[in-house]
Amino acid sequence: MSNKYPYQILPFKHVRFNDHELLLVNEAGDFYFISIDDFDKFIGYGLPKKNDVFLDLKSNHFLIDTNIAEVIDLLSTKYRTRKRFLNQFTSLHMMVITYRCNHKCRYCQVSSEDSGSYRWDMSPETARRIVDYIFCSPSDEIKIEFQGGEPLLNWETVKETIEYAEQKNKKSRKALEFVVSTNLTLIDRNKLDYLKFHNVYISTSLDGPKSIHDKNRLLRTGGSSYDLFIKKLELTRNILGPDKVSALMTTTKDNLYRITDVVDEYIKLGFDGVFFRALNPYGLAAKNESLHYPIEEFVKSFKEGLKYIIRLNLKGIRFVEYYSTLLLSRILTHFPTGFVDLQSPSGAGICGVIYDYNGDVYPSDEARMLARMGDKRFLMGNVFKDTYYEIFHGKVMTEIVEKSCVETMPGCATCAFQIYCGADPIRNYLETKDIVGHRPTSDFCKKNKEIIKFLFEIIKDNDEDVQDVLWSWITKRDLKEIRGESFSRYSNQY
Amino acid sequence: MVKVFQGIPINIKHPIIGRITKEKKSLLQRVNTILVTHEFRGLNFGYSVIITSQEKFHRSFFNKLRVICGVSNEDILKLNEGDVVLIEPDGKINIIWDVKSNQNCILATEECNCRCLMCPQPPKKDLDKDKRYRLNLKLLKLLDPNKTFHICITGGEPTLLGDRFFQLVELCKNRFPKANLTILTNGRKFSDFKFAKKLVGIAHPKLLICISLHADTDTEHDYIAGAKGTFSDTIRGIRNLALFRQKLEIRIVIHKLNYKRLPQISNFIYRNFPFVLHIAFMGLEITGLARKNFKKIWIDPYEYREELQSAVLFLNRRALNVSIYNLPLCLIPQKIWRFTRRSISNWKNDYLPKCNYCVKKNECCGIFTTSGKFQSPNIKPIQSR
Repeated sequence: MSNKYPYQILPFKHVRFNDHELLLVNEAGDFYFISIDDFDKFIGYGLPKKNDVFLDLKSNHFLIDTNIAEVIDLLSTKYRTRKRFLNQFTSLHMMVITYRCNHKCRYCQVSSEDSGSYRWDMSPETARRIVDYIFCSPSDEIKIEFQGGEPLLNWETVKETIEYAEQKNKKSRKALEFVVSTNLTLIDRNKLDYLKFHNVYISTSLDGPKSIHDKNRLLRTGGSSYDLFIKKLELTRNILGPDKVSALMTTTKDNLYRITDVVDEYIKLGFDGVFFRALNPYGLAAKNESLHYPIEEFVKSFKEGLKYIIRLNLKGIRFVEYYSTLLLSRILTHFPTGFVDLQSPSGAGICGVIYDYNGDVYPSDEARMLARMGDKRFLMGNVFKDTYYEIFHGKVMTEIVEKSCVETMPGCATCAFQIYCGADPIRNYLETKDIVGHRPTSDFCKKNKEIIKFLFEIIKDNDEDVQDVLWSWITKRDLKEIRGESFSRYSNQY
Repeated sequence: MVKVFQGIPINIKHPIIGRITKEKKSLLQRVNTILVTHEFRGLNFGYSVIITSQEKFHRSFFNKLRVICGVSNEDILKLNEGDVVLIEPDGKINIIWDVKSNQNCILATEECNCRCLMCPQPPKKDLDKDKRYRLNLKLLKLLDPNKTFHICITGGEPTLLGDRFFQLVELCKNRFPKANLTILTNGRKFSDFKFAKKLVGIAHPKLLICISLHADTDTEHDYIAGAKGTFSDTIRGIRNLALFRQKLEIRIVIHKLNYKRLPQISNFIYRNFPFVLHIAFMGLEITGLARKNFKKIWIDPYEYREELQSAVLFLNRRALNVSIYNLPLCLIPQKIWRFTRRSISNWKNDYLPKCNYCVKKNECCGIFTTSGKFQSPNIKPIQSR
């Protein structure tokens, strides 16, 4: 350290948080709110050493006036922990079982085919071949997700995949999990017994109350998809148990302004959480402009919905908003989260991958949606034509990894929220024809920045009750447990 | 530091360590055994020592027996079957292992590489290291493996023993498969990766290492610990042990020099050591250096109750196990009562006279008798609401 300065400033990024404070974030994701006055002193090397701000900055690794070696050790451990998702390779493997669907939703992002178009089915041979490739992944955890169309329309291939994968896993001994993405309307007792036997999870769709759900989720045969869904949901819960079914909402103009009604509907139907996600402009969702809304409107509703959910939790109703939970985990802990869009490099391909009905491989669901729209820019290869190595170490894959590190992306490289955020190269390409993308016009960027800032406002408020709720989500515990309301005194074991 | 009382020594020339029995044993079982008896009848050969309340003793008849006589009945009642005591030539009886307590310690050494301002047990030079080590080995051999469930190795700084430290741990592992082993340390020695590796290599299955942390920055920590470079060593020690997934506890003794930054200390722990198994916030025991530095370190716990609450709830929210040791319930907010433990060893634990009017006395840790008159003025009976 030069004698000229009383301390050394460690690398950090900053953003003006409000009219009198800045938020500082260091390379490992530690953060600190600082007044503008103190900030000026800090960067002017004028902070007195007994000062609490000085100690806070030192404790949070923004400056150092003594031995730097162990600080670097601590920072590097935190950074390495955050990037631990890179140790494992692809764990999420989606398979497009068929493009046929008995629904014709107004926002269908894959442009599904009608129930009779069997040529869009994945054959059992293709499925087996794909499973062979899946088991090439070095990851200890393998999740196979059946996508569509409506995968239940090609039930034989679903069964074949499950049984073949289980058989292969006898040797590989990985943590193997299956998920069926289904609208549930074609489920029946036999199928449910089968799914129960093989411990399969269900991911379904629910857009909100009946009027909203029925408006966009249309059955090809006509009639209310909501009524059918409710009936089948009950049957599914009865057989599989309550914890095996989760639902995803698609946010359109129709439910965006009724976000609290959506939450109420989810709770009424027994779901323990919701994932507020903005509409992805692929397939019909891109064409159908009546569904669209400015991203600012989404953020507004997101905030409203989140506040509403927090209040519900404080009233004793456990309900989670999953996107906030992901971002909060990234802000408040150093532990890695497994969400493809919030990773750097992007998790597309290296964390999750999708196998099309014909054995084509794409780095993400969105990439195959793009392919359905006629642009095969992200085709990584085909399981019949290419080797595992060629697919997963090919041009597409390496380019995505190289160009989706927020640490180097223009606009992201200097962003204070960088370490909490991630990259969506496919979306970037869709919007700008360039994987790197253009932040000033990116909705992805606008949305994440606003939401992360909002979460920081909540963190800064430091309301004890709200903190309890947020941590009950992050640590997957009951609020009562955190508040010591549900158990007697600990035993004296420590 | 242990329970001590006095008798009149007869024929005791060296310190003697032995296990207490109150029933007469057959001749072959009397080795290393100390008989406690009121009446002095029959043949009593073979015991290491006999402790009795009898005032007088006819030396002529039993002229070679080692005896401590004149021990008060009250003191005799304090001795339990299986206790291990150290008897000194001057007639002092030290209970070095109290079977009724779950906080028994092996005092590995009195030497330390820190000189913490609030240390209740000032470091001093070990004059006869071999003797202390032999004594500790003997103590461990006298304990019943089937009835020993918790052993604590403390000091001074036990890691300073080097190889003998590892041998103690090894012995605990082999001889006491049922016992949890706790090691109280400042963690400095573990900054040496090989040293940490060697300890973890023993693979004691029930080992918890408790490391003291005084502050969230090096200058403050080192000042409190009275030795430069301590923070750096301790931090690296924690990291090294964590690399081996060693179970760790962090202990923070609260005093005037660190109470203001308790929440920041919690933050530092969570951001850097989220892997620790347990964090204990501890009240002061005003004896030893703590008494000497009283003015420098004393703060009434009542004054820091808000900082403590915030620090404890911060970690609890983050799913870390937190405890509060040595702080009476009346000094801390009710919201964090559930984190308190009855943490003060029986022999130095008591309550103030006014505590008799408190409805929570049975759940409260009470006070250190060793702190003497240095108690919080804010201790007051809690009335039922």
